[in-house]
Amino acid sequence: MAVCSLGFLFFCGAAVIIFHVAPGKRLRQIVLACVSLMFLIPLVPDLRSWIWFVFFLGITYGALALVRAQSRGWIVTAAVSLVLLLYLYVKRYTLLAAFIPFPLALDMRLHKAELVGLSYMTFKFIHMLIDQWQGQLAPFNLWRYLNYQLSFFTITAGPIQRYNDFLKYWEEMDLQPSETRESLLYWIRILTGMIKVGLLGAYVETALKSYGGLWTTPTLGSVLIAFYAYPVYLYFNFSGYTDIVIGAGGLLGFRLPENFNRPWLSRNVLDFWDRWHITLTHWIRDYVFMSSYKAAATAFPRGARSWSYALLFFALFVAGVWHGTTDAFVMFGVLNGLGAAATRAYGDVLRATIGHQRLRAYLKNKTVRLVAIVITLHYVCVCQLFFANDVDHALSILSALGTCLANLPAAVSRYSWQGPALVLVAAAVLLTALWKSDAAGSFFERAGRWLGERNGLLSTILCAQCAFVAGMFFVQWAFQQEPPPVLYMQF
Amino acid sequence: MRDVRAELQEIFRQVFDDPTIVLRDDMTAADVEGWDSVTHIDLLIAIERALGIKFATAEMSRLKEPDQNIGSFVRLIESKLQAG
Repeated sequence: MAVCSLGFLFFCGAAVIIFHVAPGKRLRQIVLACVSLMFLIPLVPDLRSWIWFVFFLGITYGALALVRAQSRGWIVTAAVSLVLLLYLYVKRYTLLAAFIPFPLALDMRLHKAELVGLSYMTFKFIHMLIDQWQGQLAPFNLWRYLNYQLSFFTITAGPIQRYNDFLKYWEEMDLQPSETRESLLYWIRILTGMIKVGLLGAYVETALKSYGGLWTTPTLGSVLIAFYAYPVYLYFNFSGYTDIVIGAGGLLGFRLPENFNRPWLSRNVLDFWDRWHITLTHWIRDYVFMSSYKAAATAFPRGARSWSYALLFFALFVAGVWHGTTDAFVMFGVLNGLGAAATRAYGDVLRATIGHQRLRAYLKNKTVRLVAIVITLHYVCVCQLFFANDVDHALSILSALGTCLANLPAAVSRYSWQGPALVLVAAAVLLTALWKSDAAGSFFERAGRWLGERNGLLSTILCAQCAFVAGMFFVQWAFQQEPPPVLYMQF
Repeated sequence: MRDVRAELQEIFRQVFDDPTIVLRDDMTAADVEGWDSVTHIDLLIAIERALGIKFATAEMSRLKEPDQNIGSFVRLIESKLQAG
């Protein structure tokens, strides 16, 4: 079921009504389990995938139960290694196939099994296993585990909710339904997400396809759109999806973690990843970076600084290659890793050369901040070229961009300021406004709080959004368009 | 009884190389210049060595959450010391 569709809206509405009508925690848990199953069924393509599902959930639950019975480090290591190998096999990393002998390599290329949500289930399992081993996991059983792994608002593309947080809401289901104001806010969030995915994201994607793909004679406009539009599209698409599932989860009593925090205002690559796909970054921070850096810095205290650069690179590299199996995603990971290590090294150099006091003043300097934001924004756009395209095409866009910039005065004088240029000017104005975010952010926060306290206004906004979204779906229906896919569901 | 706060303050000053740091309960990572993921681990390793305790991954992570502050940090350390 497409998340940005009329079907999903009705699905959510029906689920919420049945959920709130059901008396008591147990019945509500059963309702939620049924809803998750109904959401999952259309996404699983064939019997083979169902067998994979059962196999994956069976062995991971077995591993968890084993670690609960015998808390041994080698069991944890073996289970994590096994699941990661399974992950790499099912995801069919083409690069790995080159190093793995026949016939497994052939099988990796040809295998048709798809496992929706495998990445996110793997993240959740590893987190549970390590926390169980370290005595930090709340009690679990098969029923809770299956519901945690398969809950419909996190399985396809996150956000990665931690088990203890999930269990808290799972056990509080017999509490009174959320108040009207909260329900209105969650519905508004769902519809906002649908507008982001179905209208804004789809519009930017159309612009990207129309202009960014014209490579016979690249023009300034097409090159700029190819460079800037994809990150904007990805943001609308993924943050819109996140809004939808956070709203849906909220209506069913689950407060899901946020995944975005104004990422285009990041002042360096590390800051960007702390604001973009936050739950993935935090998972990698906790279970890849912190664990490995702690081990390295404890074993080699004198080399801790060097280890921090290497492991930051590794952590962001992992975040990159997790997204895809091709060499373009390897480049994406390498660039992000280099950006993270360079950010850290630059901070260390500044601290060593100018000292704490002057560093504080430097960090507070508004001009420095704006320059840092602009540089980061462009670095992220370069990285995302490799996210969106194969390596050759990404390099050709960069090359065309370099040529256009070298001939900028002539290109501008020849250029007709219509169509894509207007979009770019609008984007530039929007970004400039975002740079003034301290004032704008606090204004919107105050406005949001003010609105949030007025149910009448919230209802009006919701009605307007309903009309807008209904129009959007009508156009989709009238022109026989497929609901726009959520890009992150393929990961 | 150990003065955890005073010991913690000394560790903070050493790890962040800043003798002017004075800890308050409401301070968060954003209030200490340079408190990122790397120094967070440096800090926890220094605390583990000085106080003879161990932090689990989930605890290390929780201490980085925005709703955590020095007060919750001190309480976690005290609970670990009491647990032995």
